[in-house]
Amino acid sequence: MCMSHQDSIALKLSLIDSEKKRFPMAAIYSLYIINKSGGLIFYKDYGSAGRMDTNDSLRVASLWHSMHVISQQLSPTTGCSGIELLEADTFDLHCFQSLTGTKFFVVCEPGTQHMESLLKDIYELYTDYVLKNPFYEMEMPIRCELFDINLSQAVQKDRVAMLGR
Amino acid sequence: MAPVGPRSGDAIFANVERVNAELFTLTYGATVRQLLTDLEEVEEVNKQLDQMGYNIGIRLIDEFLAKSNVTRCVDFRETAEVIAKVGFKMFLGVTATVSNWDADGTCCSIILEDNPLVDFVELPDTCQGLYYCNILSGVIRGALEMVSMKTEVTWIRDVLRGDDAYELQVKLLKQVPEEYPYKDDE
Amino acid sequence: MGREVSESCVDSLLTEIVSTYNNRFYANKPELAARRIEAIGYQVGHQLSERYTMERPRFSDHLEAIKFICKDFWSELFKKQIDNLKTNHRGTFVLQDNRFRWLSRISTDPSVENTESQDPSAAAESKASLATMHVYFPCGIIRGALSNLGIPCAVSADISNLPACKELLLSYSVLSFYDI
Repeated sequence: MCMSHQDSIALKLSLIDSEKKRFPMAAIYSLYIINKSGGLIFYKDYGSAGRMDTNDSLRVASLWHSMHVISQQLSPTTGCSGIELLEADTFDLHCFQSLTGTKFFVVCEPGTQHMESLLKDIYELYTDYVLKNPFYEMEMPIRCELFDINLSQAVQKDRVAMLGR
Repeated sequence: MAPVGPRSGDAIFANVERVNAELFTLTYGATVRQLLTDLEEVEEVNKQLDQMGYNIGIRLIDEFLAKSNVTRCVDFRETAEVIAKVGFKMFLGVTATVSNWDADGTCCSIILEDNPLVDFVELPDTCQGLYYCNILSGVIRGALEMVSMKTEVTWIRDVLRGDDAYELQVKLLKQVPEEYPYKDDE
Repeated sequence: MGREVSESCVDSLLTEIVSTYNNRFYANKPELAARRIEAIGYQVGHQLSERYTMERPRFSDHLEAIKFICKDFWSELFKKQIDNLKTNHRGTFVLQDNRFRWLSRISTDPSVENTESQDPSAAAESKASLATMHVYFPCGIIRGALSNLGIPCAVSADISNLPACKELLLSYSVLSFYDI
């Protein structure tokens, strides 16, 4: 399962490589939001190809949820809040967990900067456009158009900011 | 990147979208009045206001955390201070004070001198026993429950009942440990 | 500028009023829930119009009063005026707000057709009716304010382009019971 994820990431990477001439800076591959019981409530793929299917994304989410918890238990320091960054050959995974237990994580090109602040911004968008939507039921999958719109703007802004550097 | 520190209640309040407080105060008042008409029993109104507050609190906590950059509090004392100084300021534009701690630091009072919920309010005699601001206690209880703290929130003083301030007692019942997806024996 | 509170306070309270009446008290009787929510708005409108007209001369006619609602009253509440006012000169006024704040957080499922839900049309319909629940409060406010200014009326609202959702268009029809 983990392999299939890596494969798809690797596949995307090769495509990204060809795009690098036009977009020299890093890219975000995908974004996940997991509720406090480990259920995937939001998934967005930013790759140009090699989109993961629903089952794969669900598996990545539940695997990450468990690994995150295990890392907290295994950590030699007390009060550890779990893995924040996983660096692999082909991708980085940045994770932010809110104090209420919701996890936001992005999978991105290795070495991508400023992902912590992007995740914080996404958390804020979640509070504004998901939790304040009177039709959203807590812990349930997020299907809010306004969140989608504002999220793409935030991700876009992040990319532009990086291109500008 | 340097970690972003917690922001002061004033700074956050200056940045959030704000509205005319009169609208809020009158809407809350009209709601209490409608509940009194529909439910008749004052006790039942207290219960509903608390429930409404709880439902609000479980959502509002995330907005609070996202916009305040508050990190995990070391103990319940810090939690209470953050609620009083940052929480009240960020949403209601007023600050509260914390006092009357018990010896083991699990029970304290949050005291509110300026309370926007009660501008223009006078309770008629028929509303004896009504905790007019009961929505506030529900909000605190709901918000804390989302960060693993079970609390009991009760009114000690109420200006509408003739006291000199609003005093909420917040008692920490238990700190729920983080939930693990697997039991040890699995 | 007078005292202010965070917009979240009002948003949360309104959401909770609707859910209390519509989902808990009168789960199967939306018309009763609507009446209660409208009554809460009515009282608020009544009280607010009292406060905001304190320093004004009496209105000479209905149009004056309606204009006051569209401009000063709306600005106090939403920091913007009503965008468009139409009348048939026989007692019906249509007030249009192109960007009504209280509905600005409502958003719908962008992908209703490909969800696994059993009956998407029923889900969409129940959402639309829930959105409708959110307009009884502002309708009540307008009716309460106008009644207090001596114009007994009926107010209804029409939400359009909710699915497209970027900006909500809300028009209120005010039917006054005098000039007809």
